[in-house]
Amino acid sequence: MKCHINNLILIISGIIVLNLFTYNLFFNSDFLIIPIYHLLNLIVAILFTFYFVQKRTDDRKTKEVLEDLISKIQNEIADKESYNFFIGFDKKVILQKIRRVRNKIFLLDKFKDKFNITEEVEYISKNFDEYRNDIGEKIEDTNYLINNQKKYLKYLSLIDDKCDQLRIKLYQ
Amino acid sequence: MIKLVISKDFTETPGARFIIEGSYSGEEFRNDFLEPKYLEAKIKKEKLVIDFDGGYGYATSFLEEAFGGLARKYDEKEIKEVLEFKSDDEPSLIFDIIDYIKNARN
Repeated sequence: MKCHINNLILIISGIIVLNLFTYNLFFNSDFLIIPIYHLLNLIVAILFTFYFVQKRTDDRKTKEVLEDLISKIQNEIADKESYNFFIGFDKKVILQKIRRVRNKIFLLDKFKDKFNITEEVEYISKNFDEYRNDIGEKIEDTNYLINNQKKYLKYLSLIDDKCDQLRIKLYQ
Repeated sequence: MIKLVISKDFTETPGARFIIEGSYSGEEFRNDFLEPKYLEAKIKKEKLVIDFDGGYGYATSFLEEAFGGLARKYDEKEIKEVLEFKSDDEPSLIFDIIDYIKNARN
């Protein structure tokens, strides 16, 4: 019902505008004459509007990509393989995981100034570097890694919380 | 130009810092590959391009021992002039390595 009313309003408005245009075209000799000053004003206004709408759309799309990156970081660090070490674990798995997360943080870092998220991105980066350096120093010492799982979980929890805050801040 | 592709010339799975900690350590890489190639490049007055791509990732201890270790033995400025890095798999590695070289003696 509401859709029909909207369509009716649209049709009536269209008919009114068309009638006014036709009337002026035949009975108003100045109708199609426009001073260059007004024409320039109109062009500038259209160009500005187009530019700002386009920029807002681009920013919105970039924010969506960043939000997706944040989700991927959270998924990676939530994975048990990020902190659950055991005798005979495959170091290739953790090294590749660290690389994936690091590459995503590196991408986030490139947009930190543009979207005013410097504090959050640097916090995530700092905690992830501490996690990465600690594992990197002891990559061949499985017992050490097993005994320090809680420490790794702490780093990852802090990063996860900050990712939530970051996602909210992106759209503020 | 001399090229050193770590994943092909050394290993796809680099280890930790010291030889005593296990195979494919940063120390082993520096002793057997990086340092000889660096000296060769220096003598020939060529660039040594180190390619980090193709492996499973690098432990920070491996990188620090290899490149920081080199900078503890040779002049930092000369190292920066001779070495070039390629890392498409993990671009931020290059910044890490430059930091390790810079802070090697701190």
